[in-house]
Amino acid sequence: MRYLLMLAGLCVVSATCTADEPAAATSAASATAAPTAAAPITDVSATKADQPSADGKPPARFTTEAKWDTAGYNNDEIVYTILVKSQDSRIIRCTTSLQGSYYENGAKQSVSDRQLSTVFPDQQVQVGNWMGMDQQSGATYAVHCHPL
Amino acid sequence: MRRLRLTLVVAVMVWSFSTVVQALDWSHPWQEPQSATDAAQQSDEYAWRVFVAVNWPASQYAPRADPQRTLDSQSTTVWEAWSSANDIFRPDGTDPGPWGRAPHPQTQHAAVVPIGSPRFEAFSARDLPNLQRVQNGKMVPVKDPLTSATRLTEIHMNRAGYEYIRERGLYNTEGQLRVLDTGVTVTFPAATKEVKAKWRVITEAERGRYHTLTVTLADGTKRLYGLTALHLVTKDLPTWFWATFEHVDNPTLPGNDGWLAPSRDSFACGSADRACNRSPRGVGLEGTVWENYRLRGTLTTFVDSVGRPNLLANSELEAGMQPTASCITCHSRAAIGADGRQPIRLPIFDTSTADPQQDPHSKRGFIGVPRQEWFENGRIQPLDFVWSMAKARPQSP
Repeated sequence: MRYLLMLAGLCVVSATCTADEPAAATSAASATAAPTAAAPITDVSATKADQPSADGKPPARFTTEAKWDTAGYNNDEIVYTILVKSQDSRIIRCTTSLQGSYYENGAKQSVSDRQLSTVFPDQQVQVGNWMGMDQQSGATYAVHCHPL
Repeated sequence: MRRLRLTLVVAVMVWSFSTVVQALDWSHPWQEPQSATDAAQQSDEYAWRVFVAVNWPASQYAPRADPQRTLDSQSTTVWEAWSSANDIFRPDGTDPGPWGRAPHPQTQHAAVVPIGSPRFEAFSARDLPNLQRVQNGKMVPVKDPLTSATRLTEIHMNRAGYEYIRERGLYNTEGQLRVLDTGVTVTFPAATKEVKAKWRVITEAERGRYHTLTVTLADGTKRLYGLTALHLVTKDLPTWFWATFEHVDNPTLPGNDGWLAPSRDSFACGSADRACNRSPRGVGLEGTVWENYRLRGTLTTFVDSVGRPNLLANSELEAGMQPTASCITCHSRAAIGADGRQPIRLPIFDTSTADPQQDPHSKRGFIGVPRQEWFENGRIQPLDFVWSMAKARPQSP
């Protein structure tokens, strides 16, 4: 029974987060938050566990963090970064989905992306860095990981 | 009689708008001025005088002005022909060689420069693995971060500064640490000039309003850039002479915060309204792209007559920090110290009062008179206001 409860607790199906709302970091997959009007740099970190693998292995354990940052000479480029830190003793494979906005000829457009990453035990990786998105519009992301 | 009087009034008005009161010698505008008195006392006119001289078309054969040409020719300027900071401070810390050894843009006379040219300040790509950018509505991998950058920045120094650095071996960290060991004061010669410039991508329709540069991208396509901002710094004064210029369109550009402080240009405007947003008349700018540039101000002292910090910001080059931008104070922190044999530098931005909730693009600069404690009782030695010295790298074995 204890094992079942632990398993249920770990079965946070996916980590759908928004850089605007830190609370979303600890919520389950269904909690897709809408971007707010302003999106300052915000850490979104939480321990997460994804679905058990098809062969019944325990789900991957990892945390994520997303932030708006600046880069380039005099920091004049805005970059959105998502980091995944493995808390697992196995190699895990992560799929990161991103949804954001950008302006083209004055009109706001949406843009999305998906990146695959391999994360080694207890390592942190930048699964992606994205330029050209509108920070004020915010961005949402979801990370799904499974052990190899 | 009334008609004559009216004509005279109109004539005086036309004259007042068509020319400016000149105190300096403009008879050979391509010759770079050098005068501590003029820099200190006629600062705004001096700034324009330097602006015209360093933006004069360069000779095809050497990095100096070509008097046979005029300001209206769209070609490589004198400052573009000077060595870039990346020519001087090489990645392997080696001697950059005699002045003029590095190929200067005259060899590419049409001013077509590859995006990978060392003249541009590098984008920190290695810190951004798996970098993507928006292109035609999709995220695509960035193979060349400079290509993706919305702006290009470059720093150039003239011969006097270049040779000072080279003769003293200040082009690598070992050379600069030697200065620290020996206690020799770094003092650039009075003829030294340094320029920092910023470019943005422009359309063909905008070509006639900008000084332009054509850049060849990695895939061979060409991209047109327009000069948006220009810092001009001269060693005419012990604490240098600081002037900054911007393209008149800058405040309307996407991503530009606008001019948060009014321009101060008593030469173009007269003393009544120094923020008249004009270029000076009668100094050869009319009909050239250079009439679209504005002097945002000059600095010669840390504080004003009542001790308030003097500020000066360029909305492109000091983006995100205009309210706390002081070229002269910021550059006074160009210095070197040592942690073992590792060079240490003073931070550019003041984080002592950092608010974690503040806008990440709001950076705080240092203003006012430099403090002795910054230099830790001589443990950190000033490098005569030249921040580009911090680009020096160790000499490879």
